[in-house]
Amino acid sequence: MAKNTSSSAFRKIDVDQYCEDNFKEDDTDSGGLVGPDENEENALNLTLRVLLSIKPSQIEEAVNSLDINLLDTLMKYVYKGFENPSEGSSGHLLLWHEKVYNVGGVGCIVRVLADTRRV
Amino acid sequence: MSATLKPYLTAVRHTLTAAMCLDNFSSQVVERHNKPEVEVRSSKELVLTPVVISRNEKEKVLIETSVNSVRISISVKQADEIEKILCKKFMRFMMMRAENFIVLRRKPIEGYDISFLITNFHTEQMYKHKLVDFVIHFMEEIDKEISEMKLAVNARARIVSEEVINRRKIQIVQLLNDPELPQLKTGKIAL
Repeated sequence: MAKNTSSSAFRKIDVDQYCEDNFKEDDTDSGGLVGPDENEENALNLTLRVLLSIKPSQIEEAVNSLDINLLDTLMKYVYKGFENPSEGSSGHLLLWHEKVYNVGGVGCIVRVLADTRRV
Repeated sequence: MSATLKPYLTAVRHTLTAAMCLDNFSSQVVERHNKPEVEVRSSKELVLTPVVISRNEKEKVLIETSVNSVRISISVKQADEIEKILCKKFMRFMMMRAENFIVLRRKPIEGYDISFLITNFHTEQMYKHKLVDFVIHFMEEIDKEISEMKLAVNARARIVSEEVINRRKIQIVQLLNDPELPQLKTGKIAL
């Protein structure tokens, strides 16, 4: 028989990596493999403190003044805030959620779920 | 406390409506297979960002979506030991009968008390808004049921202990009135 049948190295290749249809991560995402860095954490803490300190009566005004991209980012921060509930924070965040939903609609939430860039 | 209940449930409802956009999607890894991607997590691009909605530190809902399935995990309010035990037993009872519930998961996710798994096949057979209604209704009813069960347990405990005490009382009175035991009346024999 032909001499190339003695080697079984072909069995060890991962054929899937050569498939053209594979999902390729965006270049920006692969840069973010470093993980949550200090700046991100500071931004998160600061935003949450601001959100919690704004009075309920002022929320609507604040939300109306934002454009759609900022609205999506705000919704992301609201959801992030839910993950670490503290005394009374969740109730306040629920108010924010409602007001942002009234302006942004279901699409706002869908974009939070679907966006690859996290908070 | 109950002031946060309505906003909590509306927030969960809106998020569920957004998350329950499911499509049929065969497995990319194994041919001819169709698996709920949120469980298998075979490909990163098919699973969306998981999202938490919390009412307070104890009660929260985790919603994880993917292209063809959504997993909803609920953490139920358990204020004291009795509620913890009741909740655990109640959830266990339901999870053992998960097949009859169709959308229930047999095991809850780590850190939560009960989980639902809704796939595109469910949304094809059932109305999406009704599924969302079901989950919200479930969340409302659980709290009520556990409170009711706790009241029932306390009421039964009270009745039982009253019965026991009454019987003891009757026994004691009978002993005291027994003519053949005069020394009891003089208190020389301790009961």
